[in-house]
Amino acid sequence: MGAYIIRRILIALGMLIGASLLGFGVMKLTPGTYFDLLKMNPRISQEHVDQQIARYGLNQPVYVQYLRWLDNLLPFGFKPTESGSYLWVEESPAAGRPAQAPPEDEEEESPPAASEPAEAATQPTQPATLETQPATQTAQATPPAAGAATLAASAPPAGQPAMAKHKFNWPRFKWPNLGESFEHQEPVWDVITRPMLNTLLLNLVAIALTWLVALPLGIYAALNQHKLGDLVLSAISFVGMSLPGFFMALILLWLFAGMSNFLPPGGLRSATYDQMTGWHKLLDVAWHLIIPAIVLTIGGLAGLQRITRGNMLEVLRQQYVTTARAKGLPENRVIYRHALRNAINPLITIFGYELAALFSGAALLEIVLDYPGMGQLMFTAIVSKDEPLVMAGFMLGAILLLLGNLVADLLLAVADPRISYS
Amino acid sequence: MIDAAAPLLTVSDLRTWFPIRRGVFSRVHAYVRAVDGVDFTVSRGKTLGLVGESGSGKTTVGRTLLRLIPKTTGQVFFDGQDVMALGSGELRRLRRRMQIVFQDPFGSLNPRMTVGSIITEPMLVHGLYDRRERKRRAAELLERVGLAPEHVNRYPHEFSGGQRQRIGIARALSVQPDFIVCDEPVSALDVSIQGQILNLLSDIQDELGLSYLFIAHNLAVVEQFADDVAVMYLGRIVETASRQDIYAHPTHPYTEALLSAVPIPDPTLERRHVRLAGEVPSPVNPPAGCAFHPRCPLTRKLAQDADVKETTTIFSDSQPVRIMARCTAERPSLRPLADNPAHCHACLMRQ
Amino acid sequence: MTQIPQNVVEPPAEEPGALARGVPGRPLSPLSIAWRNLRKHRLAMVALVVLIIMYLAMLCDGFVAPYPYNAWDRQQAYHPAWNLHVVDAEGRFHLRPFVYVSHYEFDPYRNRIWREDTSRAYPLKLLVRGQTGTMLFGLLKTGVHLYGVQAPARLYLLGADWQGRDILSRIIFGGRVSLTIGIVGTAIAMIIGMIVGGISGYVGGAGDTVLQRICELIMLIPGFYTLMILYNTLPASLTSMQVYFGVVVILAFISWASLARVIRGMVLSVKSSDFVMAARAGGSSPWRVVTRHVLPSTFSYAIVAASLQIPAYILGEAGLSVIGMGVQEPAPTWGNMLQQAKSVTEMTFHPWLLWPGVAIFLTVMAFNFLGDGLRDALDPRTVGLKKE
Ligand SMILES: Nc1ncnc2c1ncn2[C@@H]1O[C@H](COP(=O)(O)OP(=O)(O)OP(=O)(O)O)[C@@H](O)[C@H]1O
Ligand SMILES: [Mg+2]
Repeated sequence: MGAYIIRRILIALGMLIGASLLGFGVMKLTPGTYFDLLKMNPRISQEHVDQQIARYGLNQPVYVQYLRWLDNLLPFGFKPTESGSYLWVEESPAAGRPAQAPPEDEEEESPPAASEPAEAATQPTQPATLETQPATQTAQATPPAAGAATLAASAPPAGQPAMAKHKFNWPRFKWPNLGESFEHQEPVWDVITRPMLNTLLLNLVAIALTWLVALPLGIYAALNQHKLGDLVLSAISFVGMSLPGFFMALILLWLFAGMSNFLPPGGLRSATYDQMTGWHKLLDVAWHLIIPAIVLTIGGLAGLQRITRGNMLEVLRQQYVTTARAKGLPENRVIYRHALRNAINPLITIFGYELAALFSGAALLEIVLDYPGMGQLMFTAIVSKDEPLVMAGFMLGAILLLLGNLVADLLLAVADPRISYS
Repeated sequence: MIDAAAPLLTVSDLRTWFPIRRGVFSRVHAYVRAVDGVDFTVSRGKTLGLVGESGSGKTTVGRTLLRLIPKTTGQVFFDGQDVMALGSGELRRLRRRMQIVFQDPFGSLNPRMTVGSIITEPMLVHGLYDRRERKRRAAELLERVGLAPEHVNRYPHEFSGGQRQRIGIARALSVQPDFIVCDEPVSALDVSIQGQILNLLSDIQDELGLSYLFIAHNLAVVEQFADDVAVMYLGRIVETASRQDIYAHPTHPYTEALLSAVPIPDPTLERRHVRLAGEVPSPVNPPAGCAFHPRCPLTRKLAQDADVKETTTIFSDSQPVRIMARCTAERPSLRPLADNPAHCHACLMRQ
Repeated sequence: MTQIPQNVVEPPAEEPGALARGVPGRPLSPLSIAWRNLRKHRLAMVALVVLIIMYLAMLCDGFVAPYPYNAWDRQQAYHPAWNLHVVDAEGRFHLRPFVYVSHYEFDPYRNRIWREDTSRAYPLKLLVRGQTGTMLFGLLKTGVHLYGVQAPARLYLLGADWQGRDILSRIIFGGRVSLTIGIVGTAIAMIIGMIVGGISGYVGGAGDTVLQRICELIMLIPGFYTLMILYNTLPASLTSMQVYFGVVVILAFISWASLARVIRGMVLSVKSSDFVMAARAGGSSPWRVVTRHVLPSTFSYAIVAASLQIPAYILGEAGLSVIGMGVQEPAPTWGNMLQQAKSVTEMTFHPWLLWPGVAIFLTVMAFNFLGDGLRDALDPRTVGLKKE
C-alpha cells in the first residue's frame, strides 16, 4: 500500500510537470503580454513599462520564462544571483567583496526570509534595490540584453575588470514561490488566498447540503421503488441533470433578487459589510451564499440521489438482507442496520471526485454570480493575461484533480475490501 | 509436397507461458505455464486427438502452433516449413493452409458481419477468386455444411449454436486448407447435435484428405474420431498412442482415470471407475516432479506396499497422504514402451 | 485441392429454436435490433422526436423563423413577449389571432410603457412574405416565412431584445451554433479518440503507455480554466465562423481523452475475443483486423458515449458564450443571447431574455434521454456480442 502511494505520487509529480508545460505553452500561444495594454496607455511612461517587462523576464525566450517559473516554484532549485544569472555566481573583485562570502549567500542561509530577498534579486533594474547594491548598477546598465543571456554563462558586464570570476550556482533549498501577479503587483499567494477561501466555503457548504439531502432522498426512492415518490424524484433528477447551473442561477436571481428582494443579486458581501457586527456579518455571508449553494447542490443532487438509490436497491436484493429478513428481524432494523451501511459505503469514493472539482468545478457559476472566488479571479486573470496568477490557479486546479483521483482510489480500496493495491 | 511419409505437423518442446503483470509499472510477477513442453506429430490425412481436462492448456497449444498467441519456446514444422520463423507475409500465406474451428460458437463469429462476409473474408484476404465466385462458393459451402444457401445474408445471432459451428467450419474450409485445428468444436453443443457435427467433420476429412488436430476434453468424443490420441495434463503430454492402444492398454494413471469416465457401450464389459482426488492444480505453480502426483491413484497404491524411505507425505484436500518420493522429485519425460515404440507415456512408476 | 462436391447429402439441421427469432426472409442486422429496442423506450423516442423537430427548424431557420436574426428595430426595443390577441379592443372574439402595432413611452422613472394602436388589427398568417432570410446554413435564401404578420406590425412571441430583434427568431437561428457544436465536436473528439484508443489498445507496449499518459494529462487539467485560456488564444479578428470552429476544437481538445480511454478499454476486450482471433487465423492483416473487426465492435459503445457527450459540448459553448467568450454578436447563439440577461436589472424588467436558456435545457435533456435509451438499446448482449 505504501509503495503504491509512493509510486502514485511519483507519477503524479511527472503529470504535474506535464500539466504545467501544457498550461504555460497554451498561454504563450497568445501573442502579446499583460503589459501591451499598459503600453497603449499614454499616462504610463514607456520606460516604466519596459522596466516591468524586463523585471518579469517577459522579453526572454519562452523556455527561459518557463524554467524561471518552475525554478521559483520548486522548493529546491537555483536562486538567481544579483546579475540575474541562475547558473553562475559572479565574484567580482571590483565590488570589493570577500570572495568566500558573497552577500547573496548570506541571504540564502535564512530560508524563511528568503522569498523576499529572492524577489528583490530578480529586480535588478528597480531603482529601490539598486541603492543597496551599487556595485551591480553598472553591471545591469545594459538591459534588457543582459536578461537574454541568463541561462548561458553571463557575459562579463561592460566596465568590469576582466578578472571577474564565475562560480557554479548550486541548487539549494528555498521556499516555493508562485511569483508575483502583474496586475495586483503583489505575490500571487496573497492575491489568491481570499478567493480560494471563498471558493472553499461555497463548495463545502454545497457538498454538505448535497449529501444531507441526497442520501435520504435516494434511500426513500429505493424503498418506494416505482411508486409515485420515486417517479417524481427521478423526474426531478433528470431535470436537475439537464438544467445548466448558470441558467438555474439566472432563474433564481430573477425570481428572488429581481422580482422580489429576498436574496442579494450576487456577490458574497453587502456593501455595508464592514459596518456590520459579528453576527450580522455571518448572516450577511450566509444570505449571499444561498443562491450559489442551492445551484451547486441541485447540480450534484441528481447524480448522488440516483447512485444512492441504485446502491440501496442492489443491497436490498442481496442474500444477507434476505437472510436478515428471514430471521424475522424487524424491517426497520433490516434496512438501517444491514442494508444502509453497505449501500452508503461505496459512496464515499465520490468524496474524492468532489475534492477534485473543488476549485475549478464552480468556476462558471462564480463568474455568472459575481462570486469573488477562484473562478472569477481566473477569469479576469486570463482575460488580462496575468500569467503568474493564471499558472497558479491552473496548477492548484490540477493538483486538486490529482489528489481527488488518488483519494477516490484509496477510499474505494477502503470501502471495497476486494480491491487491493499492492 | 516434400515427403508423403513425413508427418504434416511436428511440434517439439512447445511452451507458452502467460506473464502475470502487477502494479503500476506492470512488472512481470509470475507466469501461467499454460503449455509447458509439448511434443507431438500429426500425420497427413490423419487426426490427432488432444485430450485433457479443462484448463490443461489444449486451446493454448492449438493457438500457439497457429501463431495466434506468441510462443515462449519450441518449434513447429508444418510441411517442412518452420512456422515460428516465418515473416508476417509468409505467415499470412501459410494461414491459407492451416485453419481453426473455435471452441465457442457464440464468440467466434463477428456479430456485425453477415454469414456471407464471414465465410468470404478468408478468401478475400488471400486474394482467391473474384467477387462473384467467392459468393458462389460461400453459398456452396453453406450447403455443404448443412445450412441453406440463402442464409448468407443473415447475421450470426439468428442461428443456434450448432448452426454457428457449421458456419465456423464453412469459414475454415473456404480457403481449402490442409490442416484444421478443431478446438472442442462440439463441447458447447447439445449431445444430439454433437454427432451431426462430428459426422460432418469426418465426411469432409474423407473428401478432402484433411489433417486435424482434434481437441476434446473427454476420450469419448475422440474415440470415434481420432487416429492417434495425446493426453494432456497441466500443460504437458502424459501419454500418446494410437487410438486402439490408448483404449486397450492405457499406461498412464491419468489416462486410466479419464477412460474410466467414458461410458462403455458393451454392458458385459466392466470398467473400474477411478475417481481422482482433489482438483487440477494451478498452472502458475505446478506441482514439482510429476505434475499429476497430488492426484495420482497409482503412486498412493504403490506407497502402501513400499519401503517408508521411498515414500513421502503430501497433503491432498488437507488430508495427509503417503506417495512415492520419486514422483515429487523427478520430472518424468515422454518415453516409448518397450514393446510398442509408437506408444509413449510419462509415468515414472511404469517406465 | 478438390472442389467441394455439392451432392453429398447431409441430414438437415434439426435444431430447436433455429431461426425462430428472425422474421423469415428479412435478416435482422444488429442495427435494426437496436432500433427495435430503442422504439420501446418511450422517453427516448419523445426525445428523438423533439430533437428531430429542433434540427429541422434549425435547418430551415430562415423559413421557420418569422424574421432574420439581425432584423432590428430600435422602436421596438425590449418589446414584451406574446403580443398575439384573440379578443380585440371592443371585446369581440376572433378565431384568427392578430397583433396590434405597438410603441412605447417612458414613464417618469424611465420605465417603458407599451401602448397598442388598436385601430388596425394585423392577423397572423401562414406562409407570408417578409424580410429575406437564409436557411440551410445560409446556402438558401427565402423571403417566405412559415408564419408572420404584415409590416409594420411585428410578431413577438417570445419578446424582443435591446435592438428590437425577435428573440424566437434568434433562438431558431442560434441553433446553427448551439445544435451543431455538439455533433461536430463529438465527431472530432471521436475520430481522435478512435485513432488514439485503437492504437493504444491494439498495439499496446510503450506506445500505449505514452498515449495513456497523454490522455491522463489532458484529463488532469482543470477543464473550464483551460477552455478560457484556450479561447483567449484565438485572435480577436476572427469571423464568427472561425470562432465557431475555434470553440469546437477547444471543446474537443479537452474531451477526446476520456473517449480515447473508453475506446481503448473496449479494444482491449474485443482484441482477445475469438472472432478477432478468427480473423487473424483467416489471414487478415492487422490493419484489416483493426478497421473491420475491432473498431466496428466498439462503435455502439462509442455512439452511446457520444450521445452522452453532446450535452457537455452544448453546455460548454453556452457557458463560454455567457461570459462573453464565444461566437460574438450579432450572430446569435443561445449562450451569447443569455449574456444579455446576465444583470439582475435586465432580467427583472425583461425576463423574456431568459428564453434561450430554456432552449438549452430542452436540448440537453432530450440528448440525455436519447443517450439513456441508446445505452439500453445498444446493450452488447442484445447486439449479440455475448451469449444471449
Ligand atoms: N491469455 C491468457 N492469459 C493468461 N492465462 C491464460 C490465457 N489463456 C489461457 N490462460 C490460462 O492457461 C491455462 C490453459 O488454458 P486453455 O484455455 O489452453 O485450457 P483448455 O485446456 O483449452 O481448457 P478448456 O477445456 O476449458 O477449453 C488456463 O489456466 C488458463 O487460465
Ligand atoms: Mg479450450
